[in-house]
Amino acid sequence: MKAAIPVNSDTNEALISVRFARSPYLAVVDTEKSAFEIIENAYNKMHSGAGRSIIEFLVTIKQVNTIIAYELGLNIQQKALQKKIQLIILKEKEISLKQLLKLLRLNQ
Amino acid sequence: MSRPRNHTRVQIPPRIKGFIPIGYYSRTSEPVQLNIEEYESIRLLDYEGLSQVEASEIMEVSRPTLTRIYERARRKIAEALTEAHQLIIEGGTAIYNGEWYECTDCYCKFNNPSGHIIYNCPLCSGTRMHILSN
Repeated sequence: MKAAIPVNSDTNEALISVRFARSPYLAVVDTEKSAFEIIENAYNKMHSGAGRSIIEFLVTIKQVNTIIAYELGLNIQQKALQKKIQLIILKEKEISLKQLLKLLRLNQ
Repeated sequence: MSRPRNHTRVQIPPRIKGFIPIGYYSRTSEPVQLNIEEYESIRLLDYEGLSQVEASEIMEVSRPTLTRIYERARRKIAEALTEAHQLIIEGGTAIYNGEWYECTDCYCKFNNPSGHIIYNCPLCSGTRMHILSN
């Protein structure tokens, strides 16, 4: 599984960001390679269409097949369902990337 | 006999099952049931700010049908708020876009776009989960 997680900063202590497309950073987690990277979200300042653009980038460049988030905007939902990306909706927003990596059993 | 209601399409299941009034110490009254499609109409129109035409296309119903669903939703929410009823979000004729599950270990909700049989939660690898829809 290769998953994208919206986060508020570029450390693994970062809390997840509530809105996916407007998050400042995204963690891309590869559970098969047990690795992750944090990338800056270049689309978060876009006036409109940020959701569609970020999904396109994540699928084509980062080969992401899963999105883990607390809340997803309508454009993201539609685009993700269209691209057959798995959506995982978290039950709480006060959760850090570190906690999620632990849940995913990723060696840090 | 009235015609049965058509199915409406819902993208993502509601996060919660309902609301309870705070600071209301009387005996619990009969809860108000907000159908899933009524919840979705509030989400699309009031939260996402879509027009009724846009929302009706997403929910795959006609615009007048959406207006009726939305009116029912608002009436029920107003009743719950004013009369201090619990609000339960369940039932109705909505169908989800694909299969949705809830893990009963980590309580995340997830869909299954591949269509393969799911044995584990993709987040916590737990085996206890239930399907929310077909």
